[in-house]
Amino acid sequence: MVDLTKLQSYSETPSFKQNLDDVLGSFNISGTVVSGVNTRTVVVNLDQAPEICDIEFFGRGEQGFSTPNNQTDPRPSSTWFKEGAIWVRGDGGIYSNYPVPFTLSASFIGATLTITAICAIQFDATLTLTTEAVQYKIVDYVST
Amino acid sequence: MTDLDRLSHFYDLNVMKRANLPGSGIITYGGAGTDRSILVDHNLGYNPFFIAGADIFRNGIIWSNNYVNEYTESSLSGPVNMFPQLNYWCNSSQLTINLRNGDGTNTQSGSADVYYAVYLDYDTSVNPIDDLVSISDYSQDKIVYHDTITIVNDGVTTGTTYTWQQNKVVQSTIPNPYGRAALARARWSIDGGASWQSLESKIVYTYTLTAFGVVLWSLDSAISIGCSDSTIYFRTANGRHGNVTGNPPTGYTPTSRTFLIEFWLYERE
Repeated sequence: MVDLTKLQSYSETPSFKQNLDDVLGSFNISGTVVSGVNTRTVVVNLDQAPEICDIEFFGRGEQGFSTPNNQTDPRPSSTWFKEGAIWVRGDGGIYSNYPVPFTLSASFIGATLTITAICAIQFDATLTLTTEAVQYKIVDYVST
Repeated sequence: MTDLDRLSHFYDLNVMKRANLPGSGIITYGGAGTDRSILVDHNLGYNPFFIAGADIFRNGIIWSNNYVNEYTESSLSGPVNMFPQLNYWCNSSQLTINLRNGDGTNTQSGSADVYYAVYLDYDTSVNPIDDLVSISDYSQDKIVYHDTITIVNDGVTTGTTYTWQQNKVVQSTIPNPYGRAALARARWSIDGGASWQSLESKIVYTYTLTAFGVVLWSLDSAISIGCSDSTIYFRTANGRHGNVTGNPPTGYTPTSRTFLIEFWLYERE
């Protein structure tokens, strides 16, 4: 039943409106990481150029690793977040079940959006990653 | 004067409607480096979009994302005066907002106000009738101010041991014409608007300590936006520079960055 008292016919100020349908997707982080910066990128082609892009990610938090156990990230697994890292298991050399954080960012040029996952390794080793799935959800707003 | 462009009778786009939740809360800081959270039960049964901001330093400035600083994405290890961190995450029933206290000289005490919103409709299982703005009884994100600002950050100062592991922070302010502390959405660019970064993005790069052949990483660029009743704050962090020479390593050339920030303020609750 439509409640006529809740009709909104006019607003003095603009509001955010959803510009594109939700874009849902996923990718895997796998392979190896070495000393320095390790990058994974995923390109998402949107239907049209976004205005204000907002992205959420879903994936493993910093739990279940053997060493170290710094708990630098309070976010638990199985939750969505906007700013932070996906944690991936790495093994190699003296490192076993080692936590490898990939910090997530997003940029866009026109209708092409690129998700970047970056991991910096400070020690001299090659770690083999256990494949970790990352989900993403993109929403775009228009402001007029 | 009625602006016909703002009539919403015939709208075919979804409007961001907030779930009926309090929209604010208080987190009392724990000791240095410790986490404190508030839990918000939204019970929507699906994973919604959400936002959060916090008056991290209890001075009336609401930061809409993490507070970038000299150590953001730094390769420095060991004790430094870390700033407090705002983290938040969500599942199908609950939003968690977390403040991790800073340490050293940046340890906070007392209680911080936090603000949040959980949005309806961002799931295909929701009845599409909820997309109709004309029968919505939920709060919406009204944009109270929109502008673009350019900030030049010329990068870290050269010649001091370990400054190459830190970022230079340049903060600019403008008056808040709305007159009430608000949350912000934004996008930013370091290439004049050819490409845009989401508000929360952090660009990272590598450089080499030439005397040792060691490759390290650092932050290239990131931003934060804060807002008080009177002022809008823009923080830019720039850690970009070339390879570092010398033993100890001290010689390097910073890379200047010009930040273009487009932002939208909207009501905090």
